[in-house]
Amino acid sequence: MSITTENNEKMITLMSSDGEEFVVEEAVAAQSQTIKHLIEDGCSTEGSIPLPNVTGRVLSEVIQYCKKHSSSDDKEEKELEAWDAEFVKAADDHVALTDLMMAANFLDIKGLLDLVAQTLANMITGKSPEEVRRMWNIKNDFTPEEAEKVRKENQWAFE
Amino acid sequence: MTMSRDGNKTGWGLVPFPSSSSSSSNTWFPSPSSDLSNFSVGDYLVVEILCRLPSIKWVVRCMCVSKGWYRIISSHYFVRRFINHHINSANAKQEEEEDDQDSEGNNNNNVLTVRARCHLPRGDYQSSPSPIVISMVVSIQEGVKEVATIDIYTSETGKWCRFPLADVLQRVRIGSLLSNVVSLNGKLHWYNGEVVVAFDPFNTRRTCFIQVSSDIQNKPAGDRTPFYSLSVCLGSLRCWQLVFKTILAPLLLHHPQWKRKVLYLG
Repeated sequence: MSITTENNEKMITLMSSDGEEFVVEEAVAAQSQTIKHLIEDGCSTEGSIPLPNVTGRVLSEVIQYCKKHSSSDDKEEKELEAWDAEFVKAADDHVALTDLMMAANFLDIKGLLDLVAQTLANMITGKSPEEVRRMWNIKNDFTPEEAEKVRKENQWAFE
Repeated sequence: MTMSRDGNKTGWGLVPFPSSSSSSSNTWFPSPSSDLSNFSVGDYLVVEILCRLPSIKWVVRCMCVSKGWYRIISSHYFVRRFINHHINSANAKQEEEEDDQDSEGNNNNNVLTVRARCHLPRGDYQSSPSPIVISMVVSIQEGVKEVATIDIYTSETGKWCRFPLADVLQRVRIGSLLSNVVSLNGKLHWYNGEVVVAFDPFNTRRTCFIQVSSDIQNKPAGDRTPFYSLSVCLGSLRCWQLVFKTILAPLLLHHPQWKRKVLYLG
């Protein structure tokens, strides 16, 4: 539903996959290209916008990010960087970050996607293939011969 | 959507490459042309993460994670994304540093800087298939001596390195770069308006020169700046000179009034 606040800012209601509702200013929600397009297509006029791919826990983090980034201008770049660093630190671990990245991808928020992808890249830098597999429960489906072949082909990277 | 912490579900395609087609033989090793058609949303997210790794070394290590990751990393799409991401961020960083230097009042007025980028496959001279990305800046510092340097960024190390362009002190225009940069036989080549300069960034780190015929050196009548383009065709270096006869010519690439010269450089 759209409500208007005292200072004439249009409000939008977002609903997470687990039914939690968030009322945010339109300018904040429109940081997400996906939501922006939904608003432009008139999907926000009749009740809340359902986001079937994002849980309430993740959505509240996303909204935190969007609020910060819609209220800051270019002059505060350094401060914003520091805020971003704290933000991903608070997200705690790679599983939470992965959830956040999926949401950023679905909602099409480029800045957030950049931020989280870079954080995850930093996390796997220096890790062995086995450690990377453990992070995301990826099954090693190479046969020992195949694994040996891939390793041999790229021996220089392991030296 | 959420990924379970105890781990039976990954949810976003960080799952292994389907093994159905691969169990029987060794033929699953994908060719680099097997591209986007089989990419899932999860694969794109893997690309987003891996293209931000600091150097190609860590990417290559990740090839051993699973067949799915091997396939993603082998794709042209991934290589392109990796190159673009690194060149863009390296350029942004360098510009920032240059800005900082300027504000500190260093006398950089006499430095002529030209940027170019080029993709040098390491396979040109070693058996490794990994691409090396080169972004180079050629500078001439004018003064008592002319010192030309070349700054090269390689994706392998993720760092910029500066090399002096030796043997070039007498050649005033040596640092200028009037063409694109191409790679051939493990060397970088560009045309500086006088000769084609070949630089070997990996082994000798020296420059050598390829003379071009006077035909292509001659400035076209009318004082229009010609546009040079180097390329590799049938294993040899070719140099093109495009001469635009009208000011609008760049917009009219098929205009009959422009002529071209092709030079075969052996």
